[in-house]
Amino acid sequence: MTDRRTLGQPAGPRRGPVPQRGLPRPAPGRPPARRRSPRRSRALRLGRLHGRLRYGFAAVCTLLLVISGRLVQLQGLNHNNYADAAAAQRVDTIALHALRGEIVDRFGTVLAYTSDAQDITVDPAQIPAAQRQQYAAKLAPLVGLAPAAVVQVLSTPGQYAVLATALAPAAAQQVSNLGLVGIYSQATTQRQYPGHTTAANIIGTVHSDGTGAAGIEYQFNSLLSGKDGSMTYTVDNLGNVNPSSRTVRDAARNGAQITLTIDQNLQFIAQQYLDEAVRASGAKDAELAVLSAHTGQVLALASSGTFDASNPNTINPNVPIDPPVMSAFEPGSVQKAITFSAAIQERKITPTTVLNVPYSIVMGGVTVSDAWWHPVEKFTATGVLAESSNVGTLEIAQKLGPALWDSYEKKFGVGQATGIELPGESSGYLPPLSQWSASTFANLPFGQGQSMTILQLASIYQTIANDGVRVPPRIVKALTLADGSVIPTAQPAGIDVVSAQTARTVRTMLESVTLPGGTGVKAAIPGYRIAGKTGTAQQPDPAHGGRYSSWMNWDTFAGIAPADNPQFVVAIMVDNPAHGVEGGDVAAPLFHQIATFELQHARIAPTGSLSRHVPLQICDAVTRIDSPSTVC
Amino acid sequence: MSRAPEDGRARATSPERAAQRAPRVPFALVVVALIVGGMCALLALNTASAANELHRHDLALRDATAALQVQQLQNEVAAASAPGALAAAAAQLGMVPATNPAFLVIGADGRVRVLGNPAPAVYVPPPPTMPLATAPGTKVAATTPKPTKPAPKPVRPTTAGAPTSTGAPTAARQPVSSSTRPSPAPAPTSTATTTTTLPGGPR
Repeated sequence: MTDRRTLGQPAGPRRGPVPQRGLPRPAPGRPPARRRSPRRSRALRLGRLHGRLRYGFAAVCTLLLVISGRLVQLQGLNHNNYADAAAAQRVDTIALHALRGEIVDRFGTVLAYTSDAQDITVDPAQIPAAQRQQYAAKLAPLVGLAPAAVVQVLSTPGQYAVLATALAPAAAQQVSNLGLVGIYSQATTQRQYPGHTTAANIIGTVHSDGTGAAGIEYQFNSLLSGKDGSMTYTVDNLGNVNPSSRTVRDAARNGAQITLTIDQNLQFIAQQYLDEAVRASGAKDAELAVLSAHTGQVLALASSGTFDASNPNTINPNVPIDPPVMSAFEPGSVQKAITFSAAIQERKITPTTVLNVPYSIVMGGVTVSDAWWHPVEKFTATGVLAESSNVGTLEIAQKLGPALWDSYEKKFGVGQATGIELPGESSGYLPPLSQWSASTFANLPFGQGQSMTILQLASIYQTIANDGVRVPPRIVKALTLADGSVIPTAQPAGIDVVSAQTARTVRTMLESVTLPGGTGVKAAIPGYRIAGKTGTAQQPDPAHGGRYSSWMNWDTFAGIAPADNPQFVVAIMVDNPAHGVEGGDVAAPLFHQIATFELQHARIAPTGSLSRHVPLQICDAVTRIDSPSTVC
Repeated sequence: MSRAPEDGRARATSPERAAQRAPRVPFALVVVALIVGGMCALLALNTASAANELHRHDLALRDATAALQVQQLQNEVAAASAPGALAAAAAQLGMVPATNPAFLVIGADGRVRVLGNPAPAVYVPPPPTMPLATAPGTKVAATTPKPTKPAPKPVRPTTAGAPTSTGAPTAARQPVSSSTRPSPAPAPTSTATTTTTLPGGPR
């Protein structure tokens, strides 16, 4: 290459005169500018080249720093705002509604469940006034309204009106098949109660938004409702789902299923008989509780005039929604079972202890009499119970004394809530021992001056049926979670109230109530041994300053079937019947009807054993001839 | 130094020759075929995808319809199997609730004892059911025919002596509770015995 360079001109453009050594300096006559310019351009070129690089590099670095700083700011520090703004445009999230759990009875029969339904809505602005009649003619039969009512909805001013709520899917399909302009449907769910009134007082009902309003629906609302999930997916600018995008799905957790201890069939029959008894006797209402004898599980808990769970408009705001646990009443003589159990347990009496029972007795400054006039009779303790003598019961209570009697009341659960899984339970009322007046103990031992719910009354007899061990009643048998796991409700620890021997003795005594000569013969069931007790408690009369009325009664009956092999107990209260004023007249036949059904329904065969005869009184010759054989 | 010009020339001429010899048409055809084939495949895939989507939509619709139908049927079954509806349907068929059955107890000596009073079930007007909106059978309950065939009369053994069969009347000397007929009015006279200062009525 060197040889080529020697041949031609030096490579590159000449930027100016090249200083050559040995050449003469320019002539002094030349202008100074020409002399200076080559010198200046040479210094500028070298200096500026160096500077440009340096300054340029610095500028680029600065820019890069700024850019990367901004980058860090955007990507690292406050990236959320922009990501969110972007996501808001292309990501859509919808709620996945959890299905509300079912409520089933002890055999799994569904009492309450949730199904899909459609609300039918209208845009009245889209429907010409002339066509309203045609619309109404087509829609009325499908939505279950009168054509005039449909026209009225179609005439609503504005752009939105609800024509029908929670229409069954099939009917909604028919509506949409009509293809009418301006009629829309939107998906919703509906709580279904196929039994309508059956067990409505227990199950309760839901608000229009689907949350529990009463009963089990209210008490277990959070368990039943489950947990809503969500689904997130990307959409295009029109809102269509982008099928290739990743869908984030947080599955909804459905509500738990609640298995009750009640038997739907027994509950239905009980409600029917109560309604019938209330109508026949002209009573205000009637209540009932059926408990399993050994587990304390509630088999039925009913009252007359129960509302329809699927139609909250049928709820009467003036009565408790679940009277069997919410309303307390004075039990009357059914409560004598406690006095007798205590006296036998404390060895104060035996079934054959003979008592001299006059018609009336003065105690604590007041006179208490029996319900029927009689001369001074020699009743056995069994006779006092079977004939329901108040005077005889007070004589037995006096053998116990107030403190001992009060301790047994408490052990039997009087005045204490049972803790059943239902809202609004009343604990009843037992006056504290310290607040007793002189006459209080002349009142309490035969069931006046204290109050209890029908469930508490049934629990007292469950204690006697279960050999003296009180198992607080429960109504929830098990929970079945959405994942299928079953959580059985633990049976509450039993409370030892009286000994098994005492309980058996009291059951034998209670049998005499339903045998000829007793007050509860109408409760007897042929072939079975039935133990029970009638009660007729006087009600305080508001019209007479809260004094006990002489004609307003709570008629009660509580019984154990079968007495020799207890399977269930039934407690019944009829509030203020107009006809048939004693517990033996109204409540005892109800017990007969309901226990008859349950004995067959539960396939309980009689043991074949016979009731043991215990004389009710020491008879003279005339009584012996006049009375049934079981009396003497 | 003598081979260098040859090498230079050979290097310069071989690409030209290769370019001249390479058949351009087949290559173009291959490319075109690939493009057309690819497009066709794409079209076919898109068409299949669209067809599948239509089919899926159709199936989803049928699925939804079937699900609705299932739910509708489930609702109907639940409503029909509710005790109220069953009772109404049974009454419509002329069925009546069974009363107390009688039981035969065979003793150790082979003698048969009857517990209870065997009697055919009789028709009693059914207790009122609360009107069920979904049960069309409720109305029929009032017009239920009586059972045409009475229950077969069981054989009554000679040793019928169950003491628990309590068809016996109440004790005659009970003035209040013995009346089986309800008094027609809320008669305060029927509790005339309770005249004391404290409740003395409950039995």
